[in-house]
Amino acid sequence: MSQTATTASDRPFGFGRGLGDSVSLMLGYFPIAVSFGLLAVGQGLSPWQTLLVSAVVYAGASQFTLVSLVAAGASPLSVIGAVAAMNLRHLFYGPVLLAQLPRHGRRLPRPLLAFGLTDEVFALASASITPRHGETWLLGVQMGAYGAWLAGTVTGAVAARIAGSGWPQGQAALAFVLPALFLALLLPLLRRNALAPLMVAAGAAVVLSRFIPGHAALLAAMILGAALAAVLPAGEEAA
Amino acid sequence: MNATTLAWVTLAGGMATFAIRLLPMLVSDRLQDRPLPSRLRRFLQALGPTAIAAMLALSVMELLPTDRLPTTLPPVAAGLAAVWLIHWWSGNAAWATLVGTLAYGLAAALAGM
Repeated sequence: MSQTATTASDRPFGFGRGLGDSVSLMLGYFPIAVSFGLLAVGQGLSPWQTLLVSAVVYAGASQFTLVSLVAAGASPLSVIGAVAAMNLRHLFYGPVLLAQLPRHGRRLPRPLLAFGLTDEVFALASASITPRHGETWLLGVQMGAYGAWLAGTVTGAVAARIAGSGWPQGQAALAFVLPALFLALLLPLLRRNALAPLMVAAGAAVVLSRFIPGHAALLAAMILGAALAAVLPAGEEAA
Repeated sequence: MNATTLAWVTLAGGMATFAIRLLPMLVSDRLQDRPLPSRLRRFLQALGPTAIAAMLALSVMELLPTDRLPTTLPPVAAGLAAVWLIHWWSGNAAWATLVGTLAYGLAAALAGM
């Protein structure tokens, strides 16, 4: 009996557990994707085109930028360049998660894991991974988030067609979903990490965003904070 | 931009994003058996938490335009406090996110936003 319990408690978390753990991301993604659907159809895209953007690009802020630039009549090359530039911060995400994931267990094709590697998936995974969280768990998290993103996009696009793009009261409240999600992800990390790199990253992001675009400020701030963590004496890594 | 061009732009933007996410993973897989220098390892380990801290700061600041601070600050403070309280009580990120958002929405409505 106790042997069975030990075996069960040692079993790695799989796809289903990842889906369950992605509920907080679903809560965050659905309303933002609804906003994207409303905006894109409001800017002249059809619901099918709107869904194509969400399904293929799958990167929140750069999708909003893509639609805005298309609506403003920007050239195709400048739109593609802007989307790519905004997502350069994702360069670090894959290597960081691969270094955290346990080496044992099932290895998935890298394209499968790379597609869903958004900011929020990275944040949730990097805050959650233990030796029991394998690659199939990460895929479950990604699929939950991607499903919510597509469902929200369709909902927003259809709602825009039916009722127009006005939904100000709901959108005002939903503006807080991402800050709430990021704080909920950060709180458990405060116990395991030195405060100084986190404060430097947060402060740098705020200051830099006054001078450069938010996506560039984010990249610079996370590098600054991590650089400080790298040069701190090893004993100061954990609070 | 016509429908065909938009489809190509969307596909190219998607491919660029996908390549940015995939290529470093492939390089990382090739290098995985080589031990990383201690400082580089600590740098990579810290990127996740520092990214979350920076994203939190940026997303909160977006809700706090300086010219409307007296109106916008109380709902944000209420929302953050609710997230902290529910997370402390339940340890569940989804519940904390949901209740924090509800608290913000309620406070924003009371503040006439």
